[in-house]
Amino acid sequence: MIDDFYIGYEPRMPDGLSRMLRATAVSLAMLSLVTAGVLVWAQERSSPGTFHYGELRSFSGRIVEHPLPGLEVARESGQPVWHWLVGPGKHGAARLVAGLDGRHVRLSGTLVERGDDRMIEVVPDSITDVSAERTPGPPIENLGAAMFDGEIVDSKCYLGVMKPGQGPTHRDCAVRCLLGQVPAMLVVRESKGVKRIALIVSDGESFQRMLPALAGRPIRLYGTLMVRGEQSFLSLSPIDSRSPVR
Amino acid sequence: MSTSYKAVGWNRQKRRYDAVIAAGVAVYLALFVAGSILHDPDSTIETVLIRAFGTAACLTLTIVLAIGPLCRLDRRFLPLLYNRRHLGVATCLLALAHGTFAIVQFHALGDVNPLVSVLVTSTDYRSLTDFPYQQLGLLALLILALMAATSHDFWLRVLSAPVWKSLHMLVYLAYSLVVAHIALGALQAERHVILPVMLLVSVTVTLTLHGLAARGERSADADRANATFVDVCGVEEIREGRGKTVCLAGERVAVFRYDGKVSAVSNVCRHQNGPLGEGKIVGGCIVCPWHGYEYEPSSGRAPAPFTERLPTFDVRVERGRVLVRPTPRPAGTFVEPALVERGIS
Repeated sequence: MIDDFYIGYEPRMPDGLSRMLRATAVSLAMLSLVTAGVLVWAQERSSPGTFHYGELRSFSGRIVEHPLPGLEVARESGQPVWHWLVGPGKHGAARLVAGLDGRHVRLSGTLVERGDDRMIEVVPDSITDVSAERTPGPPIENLGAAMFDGEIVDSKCYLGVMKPGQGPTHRDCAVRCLLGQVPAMLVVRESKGVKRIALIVSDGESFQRMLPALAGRPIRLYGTLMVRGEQSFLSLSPIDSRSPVR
Repeated sequence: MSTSYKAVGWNRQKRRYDAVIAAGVAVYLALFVAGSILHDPDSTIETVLIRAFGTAACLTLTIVLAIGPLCRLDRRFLPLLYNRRHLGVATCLLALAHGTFAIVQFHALGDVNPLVSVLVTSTDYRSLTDFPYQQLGLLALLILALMAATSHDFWLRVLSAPVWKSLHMLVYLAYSLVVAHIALGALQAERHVILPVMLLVSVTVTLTLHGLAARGERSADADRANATFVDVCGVEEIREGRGKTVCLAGERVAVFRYDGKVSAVSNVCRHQNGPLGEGKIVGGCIVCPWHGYEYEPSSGRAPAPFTERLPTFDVRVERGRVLVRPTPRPAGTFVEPALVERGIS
């Protein structure tokens, strides 16, 4: 019988053991490679949004402070393009644009794009060339009561800053972003595609604080659908309330 | 085994072991990252790294847990165990990278400290689908970090073997937390059936190997009464210079045959509870198969300057049979070895 007793501090391993260990190492390496391949192949594909990280750009346009911060970026031809505004990290831009509603400004930021939606992560203190006069924006139209099934997300991550920007694994991040005043969106899956509706809370501060806790899970929301320019808003109130659909 | 503190007592095998671990981890990470970028061009590097480090940590943790029972089932795997702590530390580093990236991505730059955010953002412990799975991962990471930080023999001496061993048995709790962390987290967001199947395979392999190893040891333990002397085996069943493990009154005893003599000591190495009965007599001393700790077979004492001592057992050889008294002598007590009768090979 071959005596294959071996302790790790000995200089030379018996040949039989050495062969056995080489085979084991090769087997484990193959197992690891197959595991990596299967995991990569089986995981969900990411959403198509893009965060142009590291590409600081200059934007000029008219600030819209209410109901959610945005910038109407003027184009040489055609209608101005709506850009949501958010702050750095998990923060909204409400404080950055406070008191600037209707004023034309120039600001620096990083563009986030997903489909037709555009967002700017504004560099704090970069808002300059503030015009003296205010230009009022389009009026808010009330389209009446509405009900939607979907998922509450924070708009910044969903539009492309994070992958995934929705669902249970992203829930904690969504909660922190919404608590930081990043605009909330309801993502509604329809037969024609995905509809995104910005959420605003018409009254009831307690409900506004509750909203983040409802993120990242299926939910049914009742509210008043409103439109301002090309943007849709669902105005929620504690009376309309919500009920989970699952 | 050393009388002085050394961070790592490097030798050729240990370097090769670590090189294989490092190369394996590097290749896995590179393949995962490159594959993810090619397969899913819209993915972000932060998310890819979180997944790469997390899955690598889970894989290496499964291998770490498999090594112990594999060695019980087949002694040829023992060289993997000698440096198992290096694989454990590598697992901890991978888990740390996974946790750091995840905490920065999901919790940093918000309105509270990221670590506080992990603990307070999700608190619905009554819901399986909304369970705060990240807290499970954080707890598992803390356990792995504690184990990695105390993996050196220095801590074994400071904490004492029973405390150290109990601490390191927490690896099973850490593994359970990791499984729950994955099942209640990532798997909630993924749809492909192969992913839960892979987790199930990891759990099944771990449980099966441990079950097989435990069953093998139980079946090898004869149900012997607490008699004066118990017939444990024939002399010819023990190879010259080697040991045999028997169970007497619930305690494992290692019986060694060497130089025409037979001695019996506790089967539990004072270092990390290694199975001395699977060791060998080298230079007149029992050598533990796990890390090479040495003991004199007749007294259970480690050779000077070492101070470890094992309980010893009275032993007799009659008509080719080995008889052992189940009551142990105090650790380090010299017991006259039994002489093997002539004619027995």
